[in-house]
Amino acid sequence: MKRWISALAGALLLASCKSGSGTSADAVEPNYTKAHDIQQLMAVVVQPQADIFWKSTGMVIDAEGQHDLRPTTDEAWLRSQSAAATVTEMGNLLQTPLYAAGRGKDWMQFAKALSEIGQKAEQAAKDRASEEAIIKIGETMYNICSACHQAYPPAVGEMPAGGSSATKPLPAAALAHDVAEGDKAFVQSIDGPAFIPFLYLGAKHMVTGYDHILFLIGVVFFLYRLKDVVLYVSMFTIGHSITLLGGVLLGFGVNSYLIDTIIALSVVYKGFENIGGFKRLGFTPNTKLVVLVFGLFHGLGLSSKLMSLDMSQNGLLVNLIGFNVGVEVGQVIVLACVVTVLNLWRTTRGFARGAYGANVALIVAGLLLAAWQIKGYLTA
Amino acid sequence: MTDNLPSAPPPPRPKLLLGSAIALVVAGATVLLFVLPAEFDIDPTGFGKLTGLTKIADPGMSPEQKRGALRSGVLTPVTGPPTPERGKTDHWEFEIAPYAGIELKYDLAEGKAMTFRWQATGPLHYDMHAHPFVGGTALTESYSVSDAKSMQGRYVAAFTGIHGWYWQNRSMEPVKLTLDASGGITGSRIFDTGGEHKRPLGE
Repeated sequence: MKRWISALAGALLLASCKSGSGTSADAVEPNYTKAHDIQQLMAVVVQPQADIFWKSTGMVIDAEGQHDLRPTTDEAWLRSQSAAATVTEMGNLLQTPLYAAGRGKDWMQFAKALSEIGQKAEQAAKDRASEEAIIKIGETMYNICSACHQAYPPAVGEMPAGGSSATKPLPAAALAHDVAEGDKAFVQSIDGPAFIPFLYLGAKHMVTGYDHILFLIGVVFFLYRLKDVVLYVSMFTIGHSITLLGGVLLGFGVNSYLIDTIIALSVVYKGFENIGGFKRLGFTPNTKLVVLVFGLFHGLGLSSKLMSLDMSQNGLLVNLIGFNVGVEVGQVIVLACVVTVLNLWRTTRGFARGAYGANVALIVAGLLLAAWQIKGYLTA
Repeated sequence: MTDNLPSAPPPPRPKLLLGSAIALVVAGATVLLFVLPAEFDIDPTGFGKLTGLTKIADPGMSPEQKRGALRSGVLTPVTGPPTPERGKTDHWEFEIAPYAGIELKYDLAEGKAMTFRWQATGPLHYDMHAHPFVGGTALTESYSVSDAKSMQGRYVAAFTGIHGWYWQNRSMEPVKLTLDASGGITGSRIFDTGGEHKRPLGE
């Protein structure tokens, strides 16, 4: 306990030194009063002050005739100058968390520009600059305001201007184990390495991809020793890693309906093998080799899907490896559940009959998926 | 085939409790660190932001960019000057004042291609986008939004409509912009503060 307290005290001391360094010893947290929301601030301060500066040039015509707006007295020049200075400080204020929170980097850029042009305007008023120079500064100030209002429309709120979100309905086949549409937008927005997000997408693709899961169920159905599970799954992993990485890097794509049909048929094959169908027919290929070959096809399916997303070349290898590792992670998650359930089931009496039924169900599911993909191929 | 399988005895209570606790913790951590940030942009630990997972939930795209991202093969960037596309050619120059913007669009029919290259004397913020004649701006799709000094590529129209760029000069100096395009373009128009103006194609 004592040691724990002294360690805590030490840590506190260290933390206080750290916050004290660089600033004055008794740094005080700011305590702002947010008196205006952004619309009010614009209406009550920014707009009127910018107006005062804009009215330092040009002319008006009223009942008494034509007036030049250019200041003629020191007092009037000072009014322009202080209006410009206010614009500068408003630009600074807009960059504080009071107004910048949640608005992003464009906001900062526009606010900074407002401060910059405010400074130029202040200097111009101080120097009694030429009419032409002041007009030019006023124009830029106006452009900054417009550009910012365009990105952050005042009336609608903070959403960038845009129409309704009318998107085309997706063809039904696209739902079949595709990368989710939302994730597609993400993949295309990435330009550079993003290992963890791609790892997540790979794992998600595996966990939510029923064709891969069905195949894995078929593969491990009669394997109860961990050694065998690892061996067969490694064959599958080697197979799909080769074609996933190779396919994308070499730009080798196959029609994804056709490849998904083969993947579906791999489920049928495994189910038929599990009910002893091939043994009966006297056709007994090396089961490990078969898993490897189907692994190659599954990987080709993954690579075709990734390629249809137009992944950026920048950071491609890192992202690809991330996706591939993610696929393995997802596979481990799926297998952990499948093997656990199978092992529980195996100890019960009805397993033998249930196993037959389950594998017939696998064949049916595989055939349905294959039919779905073939239909998709013919319509596309 | 399924005979003489080993039948495991039920596990002792502490082992069962430990296993369940581990499963609960692992699942909880996975949901907290991965699933919530990536799927729902809920990021209580900050891990999602650190690793970029929250970008999956919110790629920071406007609805226009999301619509554009669902297309493939529309915009193909190239390095170096693009090979001219058969059809009409166009050349256009414009000086953009500080913080001002300008928009130029080409009329292109569905499936028609053009190659283009624009170069500027300073970086410009741009949005390459298009919308169909039928459906209008509500169906606008953005294909590339970024900041650059130049851009070149091949473009294939996904629909019949107007296709082009909005440029904005986010600097305190005027920027001169030069655009060259060739291909199946049939017309061109400029959008500025004064509204829409048709312009002839050519030099």
